[in-house]
Amino acid sequence: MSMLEVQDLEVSYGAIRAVKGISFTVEKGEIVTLIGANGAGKSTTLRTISGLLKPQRGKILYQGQDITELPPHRIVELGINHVPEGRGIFTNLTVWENLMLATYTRKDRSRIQEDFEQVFTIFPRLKERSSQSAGTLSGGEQQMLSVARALMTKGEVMLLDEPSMGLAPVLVDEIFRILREINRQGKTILLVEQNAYRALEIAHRGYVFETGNIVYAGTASELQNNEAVKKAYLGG
Amino acid sequence: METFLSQLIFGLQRGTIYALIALGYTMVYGVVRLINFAYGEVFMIGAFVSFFLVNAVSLPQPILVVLALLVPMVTCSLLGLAMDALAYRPLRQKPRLAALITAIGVSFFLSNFVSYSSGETVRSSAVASFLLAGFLILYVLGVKVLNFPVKATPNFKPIKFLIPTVSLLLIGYIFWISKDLLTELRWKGSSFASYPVDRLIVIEKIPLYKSVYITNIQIMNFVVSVLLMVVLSYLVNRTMTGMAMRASKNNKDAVALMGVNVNRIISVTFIIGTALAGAAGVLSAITYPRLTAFMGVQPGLKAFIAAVLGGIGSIEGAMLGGIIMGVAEQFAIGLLPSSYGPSRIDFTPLADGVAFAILIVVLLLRPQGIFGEPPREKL
Ligand SMILES: Nc1ncnc2c1ncn2[C@@H]1O[C@H](COP(=O)(O)OP(=O)(O)OP(=O)(O)O)[C@@H](O)[C@H]1O
Ligand SMILES: [Mg+2]
Repeated sequence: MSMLEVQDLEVSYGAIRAVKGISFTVEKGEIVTLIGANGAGKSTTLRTISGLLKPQRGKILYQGQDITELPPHRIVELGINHVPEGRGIFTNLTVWENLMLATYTRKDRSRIQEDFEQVFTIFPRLKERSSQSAGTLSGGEQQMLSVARALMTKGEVMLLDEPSMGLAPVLVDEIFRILREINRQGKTILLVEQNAYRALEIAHRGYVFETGNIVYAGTASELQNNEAVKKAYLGG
Repeated sequence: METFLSQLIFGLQRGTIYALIALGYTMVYGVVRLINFAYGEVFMIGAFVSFFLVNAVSLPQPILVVLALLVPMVTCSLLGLAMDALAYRPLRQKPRLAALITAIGVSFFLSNFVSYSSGETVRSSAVASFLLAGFLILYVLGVKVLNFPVKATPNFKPIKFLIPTVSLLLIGYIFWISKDLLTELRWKGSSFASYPVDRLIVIEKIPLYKSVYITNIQIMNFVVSVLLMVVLSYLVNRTMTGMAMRASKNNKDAVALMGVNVNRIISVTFIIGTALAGAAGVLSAITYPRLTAFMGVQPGLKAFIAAVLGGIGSIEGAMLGGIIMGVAEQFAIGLLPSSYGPSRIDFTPLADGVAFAILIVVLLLRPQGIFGEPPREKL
């Protein structure tokens, strides 16, 4: 049984068909990446998995359970955390409150202090700024906060939508290093990236999107060596 | 100086009542971007429920005072839940104007419902509530059993209809049993019902400074409003629900991604707003004991302006805006010549214009209000 299985998914915004019947799987402990040009339907796919959008057709299974019709908060409760495009930071709350709100579904309240410590060792900058309004953080810091929130929720699967967007190269390194580390500790990751080169470096497998369809699928090294993929997405 | 102080006390009292209603407007706006115009009517219904209760039961005074306040608050929050579930939630994904116009409709419905519920027609209002409740029950049964008129999906939870149904039954029941009570109180003979303040509290004047005094009713009014505002601040600033409420102002999708049931947060916001408006209705009825079905229109409108003045969406803004509005209006009443003065013409109703003067000035000088953030384009 796959951790996450998407079957024949079709999603539209009114008359615009953004995702046109795609299928893929994510196995436990994997990093799977979805790559592809702007407007290919990657974010739409993630938003549908986390329940923010409802599909026209198709199914989403999480550990064998059909979650297609569930509302977003139920899907979070089951263990899927979505770090959305544009980060979704609550700019009118403090950094600490942002992290705290991410623990909303957790029953193990006594462990939360411990997890704060742990998250603060991974992201020391957030500790320094914990009582500051999150709106005053830099773009990079907001991205860190967004990932840190998903860690506080403690789900099984993390969906990340372009975590490297708008970050300086050193910060991109930092984010990818952290993702690999989180994955090593057991978290399953579904990663959407514009930066296909970097994504394939840390991913086990990948799917290439083109205007709402999956056009290539394979292990990271297969995709890295595929001539067409190289040409279209890896700059050579 | 002495007149100034007494006017200030009266103004503050008026202001806290406006502030309590304004909080409802601002909180619901913050979370769902909806101006729920029906708060004036919730205020009125709060006063009426308290009126029914105080007339109907005889209990030791302290207990009666607490119940006269709590029962209307609970009833009003049920009404708030029903309002949201029946009128606003189905329109959540629709253009905002639809919900706004619905809010005006809800407000007209409630005031006219109570207005027609006097004298002989009171039973027909009760029957109307029962019919609506019956309709909801049939609807749920129909969907569940026959898949008609819509197909039951996993999201179709009959439990969601429980509160609206129960509150309709409750409202119908209150009207059903109140017929004789209303007749007895000569509701029909006069154009208004009179709140039996003396059953709750014996008015006492406590001298403060020279001729300046404060009444025990005013003290009660301040204690209750301050207490409610403190509880509210705690809830909004220190609890998870409050955090989710504030976060929803910012980005509702992201709140859902934190595992928060956003509809639940919206319900809580409606509960709080309508409970506060209900409390305001009771406090107001104790001070100005004239009850009519349209008594909420003016306070509702003024509280809305107070919320705009403070910066709609801002809780501190609603509190401050309400106080400013109350004090300004009271001073206007004090300054305008009344029928007791030499001119023999009563100019005090003109004080109602103060609210609108304030609105015009705010819209011209600072449209976002005192604490509001300037409008900005969403990126
Ligand atoms: N809210 C919306 N309303 C209408 N159309 C939308 C909406 N969001 C996305 N689309 C359209 O759906 C298609 C897929 O968009 P999506 O955001 O999923 O692409 P993406 O692969 O994430 O692109 P990017 O790499 O630029 O983030 C695009 O054509 C886009 O214009
Ligand atoms: Mg995208």
